[in-house]
Amino acid sequence: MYGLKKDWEVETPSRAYVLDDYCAAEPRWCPGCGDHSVLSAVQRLARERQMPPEQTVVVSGIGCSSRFPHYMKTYGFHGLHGRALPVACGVRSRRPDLNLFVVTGDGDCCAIGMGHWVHAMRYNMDMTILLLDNHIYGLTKKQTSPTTGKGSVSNTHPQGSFFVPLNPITLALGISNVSFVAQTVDWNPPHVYATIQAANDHQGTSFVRIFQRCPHFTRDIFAEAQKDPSQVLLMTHEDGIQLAPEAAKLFKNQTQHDPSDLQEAREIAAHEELFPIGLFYRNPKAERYENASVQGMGMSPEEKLTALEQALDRFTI
Amino acid sequence: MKDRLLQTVSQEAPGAESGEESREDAPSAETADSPEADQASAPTAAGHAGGQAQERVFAPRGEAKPHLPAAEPADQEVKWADVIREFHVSGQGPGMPDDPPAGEPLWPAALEALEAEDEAHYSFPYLLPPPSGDEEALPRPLREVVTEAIEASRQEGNDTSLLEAHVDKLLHWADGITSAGLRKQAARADEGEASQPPEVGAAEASTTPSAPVAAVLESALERFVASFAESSQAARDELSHEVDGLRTHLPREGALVAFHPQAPLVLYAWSLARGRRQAALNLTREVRRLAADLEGRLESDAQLQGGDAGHLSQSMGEQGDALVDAAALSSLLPGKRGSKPLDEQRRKRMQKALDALKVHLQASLNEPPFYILHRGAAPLLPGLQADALQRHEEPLESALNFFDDLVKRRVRVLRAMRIAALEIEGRYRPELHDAVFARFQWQSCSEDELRALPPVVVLESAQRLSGRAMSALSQVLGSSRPLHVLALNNDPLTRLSGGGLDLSTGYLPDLGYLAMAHREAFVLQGTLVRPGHLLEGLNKLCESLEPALALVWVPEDIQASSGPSSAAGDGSPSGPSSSPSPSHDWTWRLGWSAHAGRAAACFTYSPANGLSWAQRFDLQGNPQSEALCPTYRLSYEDAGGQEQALEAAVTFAHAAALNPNYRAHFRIIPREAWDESIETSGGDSATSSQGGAEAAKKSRLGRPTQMDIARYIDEFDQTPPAAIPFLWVLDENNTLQRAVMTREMAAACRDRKRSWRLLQELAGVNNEYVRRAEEKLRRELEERLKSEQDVLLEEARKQGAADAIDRLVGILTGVELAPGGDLAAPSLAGETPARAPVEPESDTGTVPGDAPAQSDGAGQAPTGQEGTSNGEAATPGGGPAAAAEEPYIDTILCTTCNDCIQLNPLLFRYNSDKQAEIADPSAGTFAQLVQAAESCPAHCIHPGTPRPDDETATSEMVARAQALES
Repeated sequence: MYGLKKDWEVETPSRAYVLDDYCAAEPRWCPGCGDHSVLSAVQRLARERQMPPEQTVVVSGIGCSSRFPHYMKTYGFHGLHGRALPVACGVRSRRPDLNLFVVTGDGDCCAIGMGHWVHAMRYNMDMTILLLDNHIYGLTKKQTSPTTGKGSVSNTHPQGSFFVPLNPITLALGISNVSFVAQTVDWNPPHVYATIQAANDHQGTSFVRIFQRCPHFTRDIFAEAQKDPSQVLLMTHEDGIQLAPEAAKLFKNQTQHDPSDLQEAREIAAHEELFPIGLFYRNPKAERYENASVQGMGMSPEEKLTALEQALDRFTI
Repeated sequence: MKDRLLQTVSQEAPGAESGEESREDAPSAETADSPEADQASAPTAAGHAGGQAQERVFAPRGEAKPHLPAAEPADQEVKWADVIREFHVSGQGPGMPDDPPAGEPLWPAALEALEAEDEAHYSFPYLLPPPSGDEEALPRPLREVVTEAIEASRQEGNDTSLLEAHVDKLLHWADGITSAGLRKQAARADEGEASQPPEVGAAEASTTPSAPVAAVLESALERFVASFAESSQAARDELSHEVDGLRTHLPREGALVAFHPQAPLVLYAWSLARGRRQAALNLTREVRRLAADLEGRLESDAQLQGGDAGHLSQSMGEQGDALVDAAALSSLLPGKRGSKPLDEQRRKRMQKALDALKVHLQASLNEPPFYILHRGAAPLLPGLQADALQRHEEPLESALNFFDDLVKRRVRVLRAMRIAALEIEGRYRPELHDAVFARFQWQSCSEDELRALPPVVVLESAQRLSGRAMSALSQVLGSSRPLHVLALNNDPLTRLSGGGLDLSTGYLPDLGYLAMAHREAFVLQGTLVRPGHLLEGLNKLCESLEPALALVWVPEDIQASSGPSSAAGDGSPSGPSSSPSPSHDWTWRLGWSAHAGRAAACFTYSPANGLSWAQRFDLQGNPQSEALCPTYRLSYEDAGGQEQALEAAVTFAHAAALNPNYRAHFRIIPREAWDESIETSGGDSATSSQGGAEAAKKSRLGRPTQMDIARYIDEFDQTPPAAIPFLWVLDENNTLQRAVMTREMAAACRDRKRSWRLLQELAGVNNEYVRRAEEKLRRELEERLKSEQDVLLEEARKQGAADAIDRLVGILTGVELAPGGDLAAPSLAGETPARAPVEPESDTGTVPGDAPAQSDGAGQAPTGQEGTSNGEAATPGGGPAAAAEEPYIDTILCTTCNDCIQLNPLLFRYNSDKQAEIADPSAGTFAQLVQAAESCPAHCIHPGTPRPDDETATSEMVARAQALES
């Protein structure tokens, strides 16, 4: 039929999924690691949305957090250091039907992967990037990462880190064509879940930075914020992250922030004394590169061959 | 040029390669819904799926947004304007290269927006509660019932997450099973089994237009669980567990009715049973009482009569006379002393009445709830008595005689009842009552007695009522007899599709209008896609005692449908390859678009409600009933990728485009043939007046332009546009296309709009009389206000002059006038500063200078409260008293970090969300609890107080636990 859809409203998948359907190997992360919190949030989201595991891909680079794909019973790609995003862009270029998550760490994304990160954000292909930021290189036993706080002692800076740490949020908000930037803290699982859920719903690149501790090397970096909830600033808005009232009650410091206001987002993100969490910015109208990259996917091998020959014929002498 | 056009047409003719491909895309239950199809389409490995599955794998994620195609350079050789105009005027001419094969329905873009409306969602199967049950229980969509049952199960503590995620599938199965029964029944009818009136018996009850809800749901649940066979064992166990929890909350009584051409008949039968069953029972009870009373009296009389010698002799038998002297015994019996037997005339009258009552009692045992006079195949109703279905060649013409015969029998009973009552009370006076009962007719019956009479229902098609049977219909509706005519209509414009009427020169008769013209007949016009409205109307119809017509839009018979849905598979739930449900989407959409396009509008006309149109006529139940055409907002992307919105109005052409019967009235205009001057206005807003003005300008210049059909019919009544009307449709890539339509189709749209406008007027919507009255009133008010204003202005002038003189006199004479005197007129601003210092003392809340202090003070209170809630937040979830006894975990805050689980997996465990909870407090020590709480990154473990026998509860541990809680 000419344009008539096959079914108006009923989708009848032949499989149902419970949490175990998304759980693969037993996580090897240290007990107390914040990565567990993110993993269980993603698994719960997948169950909530009944994502077919074979239609879901998790891509990562190198680092503790990048072991994530091993623990999801979906497709996964444990890539090269700093190169999670190029792989993810490749997946999205030809597989617009998949649910795509990218898990990366502060070293993997903000140091060696910085160049890819900036351009992937600009391409705005539909994926959910989870930056698991524990402020340290944990897998290689305590080296300074780009987000390590100034003065923090590490094996590479025994006298304390020399630099003011990089702020991935302000940086992300400065990238052209950015479309979704949010931040959350691993010690509040309801907010972690709501943030990842909103990120997954967004059509385009969703960048979520998650503050988390390393139980061995940065055990107490958020201890003060946990003891004093007023150090966490919760951004609320009807277009922002929707948190259940009972969970929102735990945040004493709240502010209304319109996620379409980029300037205010940058101001809040630059705050040095508070941990702002919630949705900084969302632009659903940003251009998406996959709209161009999926062109020609329905071509048959013969059509592709013909097109190739036509292209080559132009150079025939 | 022509060669190119003809070549294109021949390529796209039915049976050509492209046509075959299109048909493969048609909705087919086997390919679209079956588990096998899902299995085939599921990739075995990401990026490695091949063959047919590739198409599904590479399908875009989500639906592509509707979008406009980019402009194309026009082919100067082709005179598109001439081609389009020729088609518009004559429906003929060369084909167009982008036109899909003939018979392929088009998908109007406005329906894309209509889908988002809740009220337009598919609402079958419908649950009918038992008519004899709870009077408050009303029919409801099964979706509501199942959703409530899931919620009830959840309230009981059962997990329902999988049911909530897949409830659509469960409902799909229930719909499929209900419908499968219908198709089997229809198939039997086609084979001739049901061409004769069905026999009474259990076998018929098993294949019905409706199905017992308990059996359907049980079967649907089984199929539902079985359909997830490919899931993991854990998921299947969980699903079975959830289904078990749900089962107890599902209804066990009642019937489900499916979206089926004969569903209105089922709904009618239900309404009738509910409304009239009690009246019939009451009548039978009264007849029984009277009969018993009469019988007793006649028996007593027989005893009196039997006291004579002859009777006694006969009753004692052959040997009796030898032993007893009957004459002597007769003289001794007490009956002979005082009591008198009934006189012969009265006894005969009572006996006759008793006989009539007994006949009725005997007949009522097998009396059908109604009689259906039909013409074609017998309707699919279960368990009806053999004589309930009466086949006639002209059922409407036979209806009056049939009713008169029926009522004649009933009049005999009712007469007998009255005679019996009078005789029992001894008030029968032959000189008076004999004449009365000789003239007794059904018009003398009470309303309750008439309601107890099985109604006579004539089943006819709307097509015949519009033609040959029209005069008989008029006779019935004007007869004042309580006859019901149920007319099912699957094509609101039959005469157009049949080619019998050129709407360019004629108008369609509206049966609803015609019926209302009979003034005292009840009229219901409804559609099966609005079952709620239909049921409400049928209930009123069954209550009324006037002649009644119910005109109901129904989908085409699934078996006979020429639409795309007819390709749906068997749908039988018994076969492993069966689909969950036949594809109803096409017929449902067709019904909804006809309804929204005002071709199948809903209304009721109820003469019993009063004398005025406002009391009798009700137009509620139509989408946006105050508008000429319901309008929906459709988002799309323009050629530049920018998001735009289209105000898309639904007209009759939208329904026609979906219906293959009308497909020949449309052709897709090639992109290069679009009238670019209209594109912007049509794209931005289909009803933009700017675009209309441009079109009008173009038209005056004699150049053909194109115009959206909604705007076209909107402007037509003022100035018929010369523009060619078109319909926005979506192709398979969700690209917006224009479908030009014939003049006849455009006239049909105008006709439906004009018909709807008159209905609006009758219902008081945008009533012209009201508008005129408003205008008149407004003019009068304006005139009155103007005159009053002039008077006030004159008075103010005079007062102002007097005040000025007083003030001048005061200044000149130096006399202080008292504040608040006459001079304190509102216009004197000098008074305000004098009063300003006084107000702060009397009303501090309004003092601007105090406001910050007040607000600060007010702001401090919440701060203090926050401090309190801070303290509470330190022990979230239960408070110190609860924590002092048992250890607990704020599970919602658990980060799944594995710390506590690794410490003691017997003491701690994960719930179904993979978050920690206390498994067994006695399975660990107090020290372990404290240690886990200290290492918990979310600080959500609360150790409580130690058990008395816990050796690890040293004072140091207790102190550490207390430190955690502080």
